[in-house]
Order: sequence, then C-alpha cells, then structure tokens
Amino acid sequence: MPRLSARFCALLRTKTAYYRTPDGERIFKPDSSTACYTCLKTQRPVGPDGRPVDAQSCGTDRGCFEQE
Amino acid sequence: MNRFEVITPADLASASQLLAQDGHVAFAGGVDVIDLMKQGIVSPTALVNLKGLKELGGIEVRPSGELRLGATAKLSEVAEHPAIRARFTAIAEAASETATPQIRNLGTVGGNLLQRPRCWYFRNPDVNCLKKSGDKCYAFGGLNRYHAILGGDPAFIVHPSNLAPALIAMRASATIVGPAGKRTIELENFFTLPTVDPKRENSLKPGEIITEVIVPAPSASVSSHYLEARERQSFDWPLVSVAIALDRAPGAKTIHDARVVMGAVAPVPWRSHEAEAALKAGPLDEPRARAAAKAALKGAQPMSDNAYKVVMAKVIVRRAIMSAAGLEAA
Amino acid sequence: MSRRVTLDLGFAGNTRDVTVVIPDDEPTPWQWGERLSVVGKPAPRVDGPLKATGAARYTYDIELPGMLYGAILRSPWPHARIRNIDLSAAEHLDGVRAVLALEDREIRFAGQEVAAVAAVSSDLAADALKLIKVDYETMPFVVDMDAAMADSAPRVFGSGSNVGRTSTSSVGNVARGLEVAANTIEAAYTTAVQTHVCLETHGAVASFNAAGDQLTVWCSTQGIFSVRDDLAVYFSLPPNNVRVVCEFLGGGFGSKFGATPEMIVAARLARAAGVPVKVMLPRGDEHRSTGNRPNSEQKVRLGVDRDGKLTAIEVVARGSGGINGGAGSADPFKSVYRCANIRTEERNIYTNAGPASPMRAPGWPQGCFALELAMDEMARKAGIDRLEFRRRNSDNPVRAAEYEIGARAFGWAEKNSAPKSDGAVKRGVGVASAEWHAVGVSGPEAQAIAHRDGSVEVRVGTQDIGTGTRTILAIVAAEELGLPVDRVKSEIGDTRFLFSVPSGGSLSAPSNTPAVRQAAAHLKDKLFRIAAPILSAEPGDLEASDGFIRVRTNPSRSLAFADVCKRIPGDSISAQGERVPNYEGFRTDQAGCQFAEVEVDTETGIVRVTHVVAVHDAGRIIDPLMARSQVNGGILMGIGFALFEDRRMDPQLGIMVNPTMDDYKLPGSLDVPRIDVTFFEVANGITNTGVMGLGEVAHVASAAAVACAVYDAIGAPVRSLPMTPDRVLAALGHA
Ligand SMILES: Cc1cc2nc3c(=O)[nH]c(=O)nc-3n(C[C@H](O)[C@H](O)[C@H](O)COP(=O)(O)OP(=O)(O)OC[C@H]3O[C@@H](n4cnc5c(N)ncnc54)[C@H](O)[C@@H]3O)c2cc1C
Ligand code: SF4
Repeated sequence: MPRLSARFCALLRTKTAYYRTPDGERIFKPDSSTACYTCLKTQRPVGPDGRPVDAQSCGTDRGCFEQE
Repeated sequence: MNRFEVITPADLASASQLLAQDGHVAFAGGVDVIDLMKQGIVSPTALVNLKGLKELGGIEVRPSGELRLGATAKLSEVAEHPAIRARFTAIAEAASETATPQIRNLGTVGGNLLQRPRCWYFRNPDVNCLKKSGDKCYAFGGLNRYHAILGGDPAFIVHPSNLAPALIAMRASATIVGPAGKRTIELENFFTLPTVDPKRENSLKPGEIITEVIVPAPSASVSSHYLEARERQSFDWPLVSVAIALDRAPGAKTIHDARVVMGAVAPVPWRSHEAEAALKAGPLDEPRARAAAKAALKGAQPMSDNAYKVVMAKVIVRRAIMSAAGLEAA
Repeated sequence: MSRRVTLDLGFAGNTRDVTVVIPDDEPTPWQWGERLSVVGKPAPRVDGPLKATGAARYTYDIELPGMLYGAILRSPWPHARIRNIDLSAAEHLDGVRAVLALEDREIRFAGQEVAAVAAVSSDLAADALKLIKVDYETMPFVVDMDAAMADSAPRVFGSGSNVGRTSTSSVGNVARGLEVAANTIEAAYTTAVQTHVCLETHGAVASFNAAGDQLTVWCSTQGIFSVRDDLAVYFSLPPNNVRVVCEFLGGGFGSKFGATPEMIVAARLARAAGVPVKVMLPRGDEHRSTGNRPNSEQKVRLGVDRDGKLTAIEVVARGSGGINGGAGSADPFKSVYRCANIRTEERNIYTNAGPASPMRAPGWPQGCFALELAMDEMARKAGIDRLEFRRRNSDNPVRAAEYEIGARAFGWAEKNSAPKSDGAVKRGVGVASAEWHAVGVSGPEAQAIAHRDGSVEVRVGTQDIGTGTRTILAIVAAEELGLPVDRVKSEIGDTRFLFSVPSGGSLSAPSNTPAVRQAAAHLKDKLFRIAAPILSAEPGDLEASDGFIRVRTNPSRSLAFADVCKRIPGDSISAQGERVPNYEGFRTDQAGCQFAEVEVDTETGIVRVTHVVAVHDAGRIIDPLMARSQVNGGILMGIGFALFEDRRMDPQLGIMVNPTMDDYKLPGSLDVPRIDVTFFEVANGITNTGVMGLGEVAHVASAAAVACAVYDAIGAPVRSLPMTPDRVLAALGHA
C-alpha cells in the first residue's frame, strides 16, 4: 500500500506532521479546521508559486510538488 | 539606535549651552528618551545627563509650607514623601499610581512632565504622522481608543503625564533656566495644544532646562485627590485620570475654590473651569459632584473608538471630587 | 514477546479491570491506588536555581567566537510587489559580512521578511538594514475580516478568493432540534487575534563547519528534532550532519515547531559569511510575524427542551488567520456537551496580516468562549441553574466529579445565589468546562545511565517548553530506581540524545515519561544482574527502593544502590527505553472545569478577576508543583484573552499598531487573581506512567469562565473578547 503521507508534498509542514504514526508516517489531518500549514521552501503559508499552502493544494498536481 | 555620546556637564550653565546645540537632548532617568531612541523616534548625537546637577536635585517643604520638587527628584521619592502625602496628597497619589516600582525608581519629575505622548502612530517608526514630519493624524479615522476626547484637533494625542494634572491642580509652577536666563511659568500655561504646534506638547525652548517645580503652600482647608482608571492594574497607563483640589473653609458646606484637572483626555493636562464653576455654585453633595463631572466633559468630542472615555471620565471626576471632599460615594 | 496484564484503572469510586497486552520488557502500567514513593509528591523545579540566577543558557545567551549578528529587513507595506532590491550599499558598509535578499516578488503582510544582513555588531547590522533600498510597488490590501469578504475587496492571493476553505460537520438535524426546543437562543460572539508573546523571542545561532557539510544550530524551539529534519531538507544535508541544541526555551505556545524563517536566515547568513551568526527577533517582529491565534466570529444557536437538555447546537463561524488558514473554532461545539443535533460550519478568511500558527489548543479558547457564554444565556432564558444545566448536558463521569469538587472549593452555591451589591462594583461568578485529549504518541526513546559514583542520568532528545520537563523525567526515573529525585539528572535539549517528539499538543509528558520509565527499568535490570550474585539471589527476586537494592522476600538482604554502582565494570552502564504505542486504557479524553469570580465596575466598565478555581485531570500527576504552574499559566493566558489582548490592525495603513509590550496588553502581576488548583487523579493505563498533558486543557475554559462571570455580574452578556471597558459599558447600555 502506498504511504498515505506520500500524497502530500515533502516540503509541506504542519504541526501534526512533526509527529508520526506508529508506522512511521507523518500525520496529516486534511479535515482539520485549525491546522496551519507552511511550505518549508518559503517557511510561509505561501508556496514558491505564490499560492496558499495547505493539505488540499499541496498535492502531486501542483507544479512545485516534491515527492517525500 | 544611532550612535551618540553621553555628556555629563559640569554645571547648569554649560548644560544649558550644550542643550542649545542641534542634536543634543537632555536625559534624566532616561526612561522615555532611551525608549524613543530605540524606536528611532529621536536620534540625538549627544545625550546631556542632568542627574548630577545640584540645582535639579532634592525635595523640600520650605518653612512657608511651599513645596519644592527638584527636577531630578524621583517619582518614588515623591510618592513616599510623608509631607507630600499629607499636604499635597494628589501629587503623591499621582506619582504612586505611575507605572511600576522600577520605573518610579528611575523616572524623574522633570522627565515625567516632558515625556512624549504614547500614541501608537507617533511611536511607530514606520508611520510618519503630524507629530513628526507628516501631514496627517492617523488616530482620526484610525484606531483611537486611547486618544483625545477634548481639544484634540489637529493631532489627537493625549498628554501622558500623571504628575502634570496633580501639579496643576495644586497650582504649581516650573522654574526654567535657559540661554536667556531664568523664568518661572505656571505649569497650567506651560503645556501647549497641537493648534500651536502639533509637533510639541509644551513651550520649552532649545537650551532650556526645568530645574524645579514649586508648589505654593496650600491653605489648611485644601484637600486634594488624584484618581485614575486603567484597563490593567499592572504597568498600564491611565485611560482617564483627574486631580482635584478643593478649598472649603472648616464647617462650610460650599467650596470656595476648586481645581479640576484631567489627564489622558486631551493633548495637554485639561483644566476644566466649567467643572470648577459648577462645584462652587452651591453646597457640595453628590448631585453637585455629578453636575461638575458632567460640566467637565461638556465639550467632549469623541472619535470612533473612544466615546467610552467620556462616560468613564465623568465617573472618575465625580468619584475624585467625592473622595477629595471626604464624602461617601452614593 | 509480549504479555497480558489486567490493570485496575479509573478514578475514586469508578474503577474497572482493563486487560492490555504489553511488551515483555515494558514495566506494568501504574494502576489505581499504586503506592509510589516520589511520583506525585511536590518537588521543586530541578533547574529553578539556574533560571532564577540567570545561569540557564537560553538561545539569547549563546555567544560563539567570531560570531556575527544578523538582522532582518521587513516590509512596512501590507501588500506590495518588489520591483528591485538594491543590497550594494549595505554590502559595502564596513563590518558587514553577508547580505541576502529573502523575498523578491510579492509581499502579503506588513512584517514579511525582505532581506537580511550579518555584521560584527547588532548596531551595525541595524545600520546596514537602513542602507538596503527596496523599490516597492504598493498594492491594495485588506486587513479587516469583514471587509475581506466583500466581492470588491483586494485579493490576498492574486485572483483567488479571500474566502478560504469551509469545513462543515453535522449530526442529527439541527433545524428539527430547534423546532422541538422549548427555548432557543441565537447570538453572535467574537474574539480578537491573540499573539503568542513568547518572552524569549524567536531566534537562532547557526554555525557551519569549514567544509560546509555540518550545521549546528542553537535555537529557541519546541522541537529540536523537527528543526533538525527541516534544516537537513532545506540545506540538503543528511539529518545526522545537523545538530540542534535548545537547553532552555522561553516559551513557544505552538509558534516554535519546525524551522522558522529566522533559523533559516541565520543558517544562510552563517554559510555565506563562513562564521556563526545569531539572529534574535525584536519584540515588534515577534508580534507581527511569528504567528498568532486567529480571530473569530461565531453565530451560535442553541435549543433546549423542558428538562433542560440540549436539542440543538449550531455554530456558523469564520475567522482570519491572516495569510494563513486554520481559523476554525467549532471543535468544542462538537464534543463538550451531549446533543443529538449538532451542526458546525467554519470558514477561513484571508487578510493581509501576519500568519496564524498553532497556539495553545488551536480553536478551543475561541469556541469555548462562544459555547459557554451561549450556554449561560440559554440557562438564564430557560431558568435553570448554570451548573445544573451543564451537569445535565455532560455525560462524562470525570467531569461530573470535577464539577462537584470545584463547586465545593469555589463556594458556588453561596456565591451564585449571593445578592448583587447596590454599589457600582458588582461581583459575578461563572463556570466553564474543559476538554482535551493528551495521551501522547510513540516515538521517543530514552537512555538511562548509572555511573560508578552512584549517580544516574537520563537523556532524552526532548526540550523543556517551560513545563518542568527535566524535573518530571528525573522523578519518573527516580521512582523506578528507588532513588531520591536529586540522585537523578535529566539531560535534554540536544539532538545528540535519542529522538523525541516536539513539545506541543500537550504531548511532552505523556510521550516522554513512559520512555524514561522503560529505560530506567532496563537499567535497573542490569543493576540487579550485578547485585544478584552478591545477594545470592536471582535478579528477578530483587527490588529497588529507598536507595537500596534488596531481596523482595527478605528485605534485610540488601545493598546500597551506590555500592552496586561501584561494581560497574567500566565507568557507567546504560540502558535504553522506548515509548511504545498507546494501550487501550481507561479513557483517552480529559475533562476539567474552571470557576471564576470577577468584580465589574459598572460605571467604568473595568473588570477584575478575583478568584479562579480549576479542577483538572491529567492522568497521573508526576509533580503537583509543576502541574500547578502549568494550570496557573493557562489561566493567566486565558485572562489576557478575556480582558486585554488584541492584535489591532490599522485599516488605513494595514499595520499592527500595538506590537509592543506596552500597547499589547498582557496581564501583569496585579491582574493575577487568587488561583486554587485541584487535580483529579485518574489511572488511565494508556502508557506505563498514565501521564496526560496539561498545557492546553488548563487554558481552554479560562476566558469562557471569566466571560460567564462578567455576564453574571452585570446581567448582560459581553459577547466580544477582549472585554475592554468600552464593550462592558456598551453591554450595560452606557455608551
Ligand atoms: C511601562 C511604563 C508605564 C508607564 N506608565 C506611566 C503612567 O502611568 N503615568 C505616567 O505619568 N508615566 C508613565 N510612564 C512614563 C514614565 O513615568 C516616564 O517615562 C518617566 O517619568 C520619564 O522620566 P525620566 O526622568 O526617565 O525622563 P527622561 O527619559 O530622562 O526624559 C524625558 C524627556 O524629558 C527631557 N528632560 C528630562 N528632564 C528634563 C529637564 N529637567 N529639563 C529639560 N528636559 C528634560 C528629556 O530630554 C526627554 O525628552 C510609564 C513608562 C513605562 C515604561
Ligand atoms: S507550496 Fe509547493 S513546494 Fe511548498 S509545500 Fe506546497 S507543493 Fe510543496
């Protein structure tokens, strides 16, 4: 099974992603209404392409996406 | 902060000479001036240290009953002085309500009177407002919850000094030494409105130094009180303050003289002749205190965020009158 | 290998047997009524003297030979395009060793990083910043949440809408629940943006080795390993080539997780200059740019039936995380009170303001405030006692017990029915419920070391966010080894130690203490093996207590712990422990409640909090002193949120007007009420220590309780935080 967190860009950061599941996966909660995201490349909630950063937008189809 | 030197002048005359030069700024406790330098609001090339000047030191109650506060006397000394507490109560109270113990141990009488306003536009180095070289007061039309409700136009700061209203209520005058010699001015006339010059809060001229503040001996029938309201109990500045001095002959019901001076409501300490007249109009009781408080705020012109200060100031003035008169609040 | 153990778990008067499967080498979780010798006894903070004397080394205190001072230039404009950055004059200033452009395109909030310099002194660095010429093309901006929602509003992100993602949840049917209700209320509540105000601002000292492939960073962080990993990715280094150190940390509150901009800046400058560089943020930048708790507007509808049971809960909320998302606040509505029909809707609005970041129980203080004040408005309308109303609508037995303890300690019955004074100053009381889930995670590993001199060290790659981590880790190890606490030293704050997780989400104590306990147990086994032959016993027959290792069945056959250590073959022996995944345990949630008493001057609108009673459960309390200080801190931050704190943005200039300690008002010493804290012990068996975190649960209900007390005092709800005098007077109809 593909790792769940592989759906999210390797540079996507959010508090929960600094913790891992017992299987070693970064924890993302895309449904959370309180999660704040940043892009490690900019360290800001704005991607290198000038668009907002979050679990919805930082997937494989974004130009700047990097595989974990 | 810019680079600067610190000069400790040998005597008052050389201090005054130094201060007449461009870029030279006096400092006493340094509480405000260092803050302003760190914020980049003032950038002196030299700081002239007033603390060693003997003419500026000390607190003394003279045999005549007159009080002399040296300009470098500390706020904590004023607050704790037994004779000031007993006879010039409002002044001691104003000093003791100021800031924190640490700041009162540094801040001086002269520095407190001459400190610059706290307006958050004025204090922001990125904002060039009317009090600097800009052409606009951002408080008007901006965020003005702590700004003036009286006499504000065209720069709506409030005067920050606690001591000033209390000293004016007690009829104090300042002794000023400058290049042109010595002058004495009633503190009431010392502070200037922004209509005179929006960049300044007083009439001190280059090279001038406040050496002392003289408070005339109050008659035995004078009582005084300083009261302020603030959001937080620690560190905070008053939202409104007032100093009241009442002169009422023993046994008399009616006040024959009164001073009502508000702080934090206007660009200068705001003496209300209307309130004073209202107080003297008949026997002093709660309704009269209330009427005087109402009179004090009669001309108030609040802005978008500070109408509450009008309500609050009326309460504080009424309560201060009642306590100064030794009456129980209803 | 694993074993099944049956544990007696729960709380006074409510325990049950729970069978769990645990690894063989894992100590059996502490159970209800477990007799422990040092755990649970008040022990002063082991590093208190270092902090009190100033000897504790914070990032601010790090000075390295040849170190330069970095400074960051920030945009004064809330929205602008950068046409050009001219660094040349700064580069030519004497004493300047490195200059970097950080952003060369678009600025979206006043305070965003634009360029950075490193110079031989911080004054020179500041001078150099002034020489950087940035050509900005200013753009229309919006800082007000309501204004940002207008169709015509300037867009924060190009053509994208300012109205961000909507999260909704629904159970049952709220419309129906409102229809059948005997009473309903509907009201809107707002809260202001609160900044973290870490007393130690964000900052770092970064140093590369000469080859440029080893990076060491001292920084103020909640997660040394998170920072290490982020820096490794950013600089394309193997994680082991990055070392992160944080011996002491002056507050984080959620704003110091991974590699934040100033750490990257320090490291980039250090690489460019070839010497170490320190960057510590000035206070104003801390307020403007390091994060905040978003504001909120919450439209609440509640319905109750004749028995005072909730029939409907609805909240439609929006909030702005500035240029970030995450402004939700509905979580408390979903779970604190029982109701068959609950609907929530949360919307994030983008504005040209500093980005939100996680802050102490994200969303909860906002949501609890709206929910709890609405509960009081509902109770008043329905004519039910407010505490009784909460009892009826909560099915958590822990909270039910806590309500009783709190009500007694606070004197709720008398205070709640006391007549209001005729004077201007009115007293009022309020109660609010807390909730959290702080069971911790697996991941951390700990090392325990016994030395020949009889001393013990525990090492974990965690950090102390201020909660007393060193102290509680020492206590747990001391308990397991049967030693007094002062024989154990905790070493933390360095990625050279074994891995641990960030200190956030109330996860530190529940994630680290079990690893330490296991490590200590493994160390004890090794010492037992040394002691066994001397005591002519099997290692399995030994126990450690009171500083001795003895035969369980014949306690007079014993050896002093220190004497056993003298037989350590080398200088020390060590053992490792790991934090295993959570067991099923008793309950994974935490309840809690807080009672507040206030005095409101109804003529001036000034509010003072006079007394707070807090009752909390956090599994097993390791050190009541440390735990109490956490609760105190949570309450004070809640009082700030309730009464004073507000990041105020000027709509004409798009800047924060109060980025100072003077104008951004934190509670000071005179604003601190009497605080009484009671811990309600629950043996939860989720880990071998059963510890739960306290940082967040102690904070979520504080502002709500104060708001409810103000409502009680003046008879009118103040529906906006902070409850400044203008708002209190307005609620009273005076202004
Ligand atoms: C947190 C905080 C809270 C505060 N709260 C209050 C408050 O509630 N009420 C209040 O009144 N104040 C308050 N203050 C302000 C404080 O009282 C003043 O900053 C202090 O009294 C200034 O005195 P100083 O001697 O340090 O002045 P300095 O900073 O040394 O000087 C202030 C100014 O006066 C000039 N100056 C000083 N002495 C003389 C002189 N003799 N002749 C000519 N020029 C002179 C200096 O050039 C400078 O421009 C607060 C300050 C802080 C930091
Ligand atoms: S903005 Fe791009 S690079 Fe950054 S986290 Fe999202 S997908 Fe990755």
